[in-house]
Amino acid sequence: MSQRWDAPASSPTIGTVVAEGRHLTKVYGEGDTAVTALAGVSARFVSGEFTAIMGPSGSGKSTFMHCLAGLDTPTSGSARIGDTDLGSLNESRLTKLRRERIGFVFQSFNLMPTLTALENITLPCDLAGITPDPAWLRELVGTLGLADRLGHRPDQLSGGQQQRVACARALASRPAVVFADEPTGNLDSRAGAQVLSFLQMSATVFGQTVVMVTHDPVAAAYAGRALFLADGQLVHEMAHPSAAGVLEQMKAFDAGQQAAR
Amino acid sequence: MLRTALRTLRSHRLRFALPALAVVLGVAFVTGSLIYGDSVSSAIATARANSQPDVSVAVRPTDAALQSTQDPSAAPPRLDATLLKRLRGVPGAVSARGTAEGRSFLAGSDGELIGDLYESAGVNYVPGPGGEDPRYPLTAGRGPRATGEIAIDEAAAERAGKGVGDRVRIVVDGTARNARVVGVLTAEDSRLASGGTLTAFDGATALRQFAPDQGGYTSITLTAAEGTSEAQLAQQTQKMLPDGLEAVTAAQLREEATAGSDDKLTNVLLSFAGIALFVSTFLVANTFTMLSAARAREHALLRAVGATRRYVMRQVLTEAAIVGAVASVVGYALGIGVAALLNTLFGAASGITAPLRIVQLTPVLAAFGVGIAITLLAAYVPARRAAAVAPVAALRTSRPPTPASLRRRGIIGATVTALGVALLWAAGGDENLLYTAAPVLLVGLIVLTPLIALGVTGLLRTPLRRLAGIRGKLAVENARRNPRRTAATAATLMVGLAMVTAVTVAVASISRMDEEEADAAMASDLRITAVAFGQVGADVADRVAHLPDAAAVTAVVNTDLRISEEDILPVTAVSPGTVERLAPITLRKGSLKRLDRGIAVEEQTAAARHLTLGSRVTGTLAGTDRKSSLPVVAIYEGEDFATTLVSGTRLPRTAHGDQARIAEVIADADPGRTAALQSDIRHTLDNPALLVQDRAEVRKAASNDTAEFLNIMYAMLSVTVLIGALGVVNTMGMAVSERVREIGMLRALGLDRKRLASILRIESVTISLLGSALGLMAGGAIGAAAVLTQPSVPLVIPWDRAALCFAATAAIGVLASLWPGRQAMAVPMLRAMGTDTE
Repeated sequence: MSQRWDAPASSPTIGTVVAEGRHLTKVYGEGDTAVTALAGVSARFVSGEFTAIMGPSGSGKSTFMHCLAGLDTPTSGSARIGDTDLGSLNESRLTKLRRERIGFVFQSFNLMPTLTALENITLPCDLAGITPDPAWLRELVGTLGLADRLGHRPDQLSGGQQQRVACARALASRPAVVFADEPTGNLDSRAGAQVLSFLQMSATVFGQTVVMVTHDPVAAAYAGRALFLADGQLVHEMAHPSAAGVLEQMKAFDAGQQAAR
Repeated sequence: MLRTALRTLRSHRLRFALPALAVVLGVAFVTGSLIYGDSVSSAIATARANSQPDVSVAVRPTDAALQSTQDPSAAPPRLDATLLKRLRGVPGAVSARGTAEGRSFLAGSDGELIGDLYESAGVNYVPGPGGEDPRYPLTAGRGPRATGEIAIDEAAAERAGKGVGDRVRIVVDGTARNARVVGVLTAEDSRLASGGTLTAFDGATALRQFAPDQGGYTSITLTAAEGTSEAQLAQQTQKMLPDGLEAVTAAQLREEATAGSDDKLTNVLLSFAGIALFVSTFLVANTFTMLSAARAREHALLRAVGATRRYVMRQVLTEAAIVGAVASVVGYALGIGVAALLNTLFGAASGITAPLRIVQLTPVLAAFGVGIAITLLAAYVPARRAAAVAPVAALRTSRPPTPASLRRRGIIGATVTALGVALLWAAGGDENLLYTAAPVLLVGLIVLTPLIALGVTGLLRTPLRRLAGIRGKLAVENARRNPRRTAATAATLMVGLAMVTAVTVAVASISRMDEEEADAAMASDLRITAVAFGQVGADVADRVAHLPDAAAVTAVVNTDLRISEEDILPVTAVSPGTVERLAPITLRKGSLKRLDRGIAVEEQTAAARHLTLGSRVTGTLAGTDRKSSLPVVAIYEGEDFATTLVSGTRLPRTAHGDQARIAEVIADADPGRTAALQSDIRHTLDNPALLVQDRAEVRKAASNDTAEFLNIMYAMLSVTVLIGALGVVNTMGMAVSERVREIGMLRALGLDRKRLASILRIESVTISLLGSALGLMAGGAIGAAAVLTQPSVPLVIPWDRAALCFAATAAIGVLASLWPGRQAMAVPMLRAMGTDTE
C-alpha cells in the first residue's frame, strides 16, 4: 500500500518545508485599543507532517493559521507556501494560490448547501478549472466511506459525514498543505475520531502535510507534533504528543498564566 | 413598542431602504397625479369664473334656430347693429356690446403655429370713448384700427417672440396673411388659461371674417347695472328678443363650458400609479418575509419570555407602519416634483402651466392612506408568520424549518391562470371582458410563478452548468432556494413588462391599420390638409393648379344632398377632370368626365339604392335652395373615398360656412417633380395651418398620434418597471446578506471576486429574464386579445420590440447585481471560519 501512495515525482519529498511562518505578528486596532494577537511566531511545516497547533482561546492559534493560509495578512513577518512569499502576492494571485495549493477543513458550515456531496468535493478543482484525478477521487471517497453518499445534499448527511466530505474536498486537488480549523469542534467523539484518523492517515500514508488548529488534547494526540501558543507566542513544541502529555502541558500554561495575573 | 420598532428599523435600515423606495415611487406617482390634476382643474375653474367679467347676459341664436339652417328661410334673426342698439335700452343693463369671434391662429418666429388651436380665437376690438376696449386692456401700443392691424395677448406675444411693430403670419378661415402687431393686450378670458391665443381685429375686419353671412355679430353681451341680477337682466332681455334668439346668463355659459371637462387625465395617471404601488408591495413583502426568517430566533425568544403572538405581530406591523409613513412623507415631497414635471411636460404640449396647489387635503390623505395601507398589507402575511414562531425555536440551533409545500399554491395558481386564459379567449370580441381577463391572468401567473420558477430553473440547470461551469450551477441552485421570493421578484418585473407588451402589441396593430388605411386612401402624389381645427382655404386648389409642376389637382369637399327630410345622401364634390386619376377609386361603368352633368355613385351605394347608369337622383345640395335632378353618369368602386361624387362646380359660391368645408386638396405632379411641387406649394401658400404631405409623410403622420401615445404609456409604465428592477436589487441584496458564510467559504476555497460577482449576476439575470419572459407572453396574449376585439385591426406582433424588452431586462439583471455583487465581494473570508458569526 505504501508503494501505491508514493508521492508523485513533482511533490516534495519527506523533509521539504512546504509552509513556513517567519516572525509573524498581527496587531488589531491602533493606539490604546491595539490588541496583539500574534507577537512574532515562527514555525516550519515539512511535507507529510501532521502538526497540531494548540492553545487556549485567545492564544493566537487561529490567527497564526489564517496568516499562514493567506486568509489574513500579518502586520509584520512573512508567510510562505513552498517557495512563495504570500506577502508578495496580490489579491487575485493569493486566491489562485489558495485554490491550487491549500486545502481547508473548517469547524462548521463546511459545505455549500446547494451542491451535492460530490460537487462539494470537486468544488476547488472546478474553481481552479482542473479535472480531479478520478482514481484519486475514488480512493478518497472509498477511504472516507462516502461512496453511497455522493449524490446527497449536505442537509441529508450527518455531521460526521459532512466533515468527511469536507476532508475529501480538502485533499481532492492534492494541495501542498491542508489547514484544518477545529475540525472536530462540532462533532461527537466517534465522528471526531473518524475525521482525526483520516487526517492522520492522509499524512502518514498519502504524505499530505496537515496543519490542524485545536484546543482539544485528544485531537492533538493524533498529530505527529504539537505546537503550543499562548498570548501570541510560541511557547512549547512537543513531538509525538499524547493526550495526557498535552493536557499536562496545557494545565501548566494555565497555572503559569494564573500566577502571572 | 414604538421604540423597539424604531430600533429594529434603525439596525436594518439598509434592508428597508429599497422597499421603502418602491413605496416612495408609488406614492409620489399618486400624489403627483392628484396635485397636478387638482391644480389644472382649479386653474381652469378659476379662469372660467373670472372670464369676461363684463358679461352678465349673452344673446345668441337658439339651438333650434341653428339646426334649421338647412332651410335658409328659417335662419335665425340677425344679431345686427339695430338689435344691439335696441338692447342697450334693456332696463338694468349698463351697456351692451356686439361680439364677432371666430377661430384665428398665430404663427411664431419659426413659422409654426403657437398655442392650443382649439382655444385660439380672433375677437373684435371695440374702442370705448377713450379709444381703448375695457374688455382688453392694453399693455403696449394701441388697439387695431384698420385691416392689417392686430393686437395680440401678452403670452402669445412672448411665445411668438413678437412685439408692437412686428409683422406676424396669421391664419383666419383657412387663409394665411401677414398682419402688423400694433398692440399687446391682456384679458380675463378662459381661453387664455386653457392655452389658446387671442388676436384682436378692428370691428369691420372681425365682422367680415367671423360673421359674413349673419350680417351682424356672433353674439351680443350685456353688462348688468349694480343691483340687477344676471337672471333678472336675462329675463328683461328675453322680452325684447325676436323668436330664434335667447338670452342666457354668464353663470349658465360657465356651466355649459364646464360640463364637457372631466378628470380623465388624472384617472389615467392614477391607474398607472396604482400598478406601480401594486408591484411595490412585492418588495415590501419580500423584505419582511426575509427579516421574519432572519429574526425567527429573536421572536421565539420574545415568545419564550412571555410575549403573546399578538404582541409579536403588532411589533412587526408597527415597523411596517413606520416604513409606510416615512415613505409617504418622502413620496409626497417627491410627488410635488412629479406634479411639477407633469405640469412642464403637458404644459409644453398644451401651453397651460397651472400654478401648483401643493398642500391639498385629498393628495395628503391619499399619500398617507395609500403609503401606510400598502405597506401594512404587504407586511401582514410575514407578520403572521413571525408571530407563529414557536417559543421552542429559540432553543434550536438548526435553521428555520423548510417552508410549506407549493402544491396548494400551484393548484390555485394553475386554476386562476387557466381561468384568465379562458376569459381572454372569450374576450376576443368583447372589450369589457378583456378588462377582467387581463388582471385575472396576471394574478394567476403571480400565484403560479414559484412553480414556474422551479420548472424553468430546473431546465436551465444543465445548459448553465455547461456554459458557466460550477458558477452556473451555484447561481441556478441559489435562484431555486427560495422559489417564493424568486417568484415575487420575477413577478414585479412581469407585471410591468406585461403592460408594456400589451400596449405595444395593441398600438403596433393600430398603427399598422392606420398606415394601411392611409396608404389605401391616398392615390395621389401630394395631399394638402389643414391642421386640427384649421381649414383649407377656398382658393388653395386653384393656386396649386397654376403651379408649373402640377399635373392634376382637385379639392375634395364633403357635403350632402338632401333627398327628403329623412334621407340625406353624403356627397363629395371633386373636379370631374382629375378625380379618376387622383382619388383611390376604380371606375366600373360610365365616365367620370361627364360628372359636371350629373352624379357618380359608389357601387355598394348604387346597389343599396337601386341606382344604375341613367337613373336620376333628385335633391337639394346643402347650402343651396334649389332642387336639382341629377342623372347617374358613372358607377365606381372605392367606398372609403366617397359614396357619391358630384362636380365641385355645383357647390354654392360661399367663402364661409360649414356647408362647404374643404376636407383636402389632392394633387399629382409631373413625373419626377413631386418634391419640387411640394416645396413650391408650401412656398406659394405660405400657410402655417396647412400640411403639404407626400405619400410617405401621410403614412407616417397616420401613426404619429399612436406613436406619441405609446411613448406616454412607456413613460407611465417605466415607473413600474423601475420598481421591478429595484425588486431584483432588493432580492439579490437580501440573498448576499443571508449567504455571508457561504460567500466567505467560497472565497477561502479560492473563488475570486470577479467570479463571485458573476455567480450573482447569473442569478440576477435568470430571475429578471424569467419575469421578462412571463411578462412578454402574458402581455402578448392580452395585447393580441385586445386587438382581436377590434374586427378591422390586423394583429401585429412587434418582435423587434419584444426582443428589445428581453434584452433590456437582461441589462436590468446585470445592473441589479452590481451593488449586491460589491457587497458580496466585501464579505470577509474569515466569516466562514469561526462559530462566532451566525
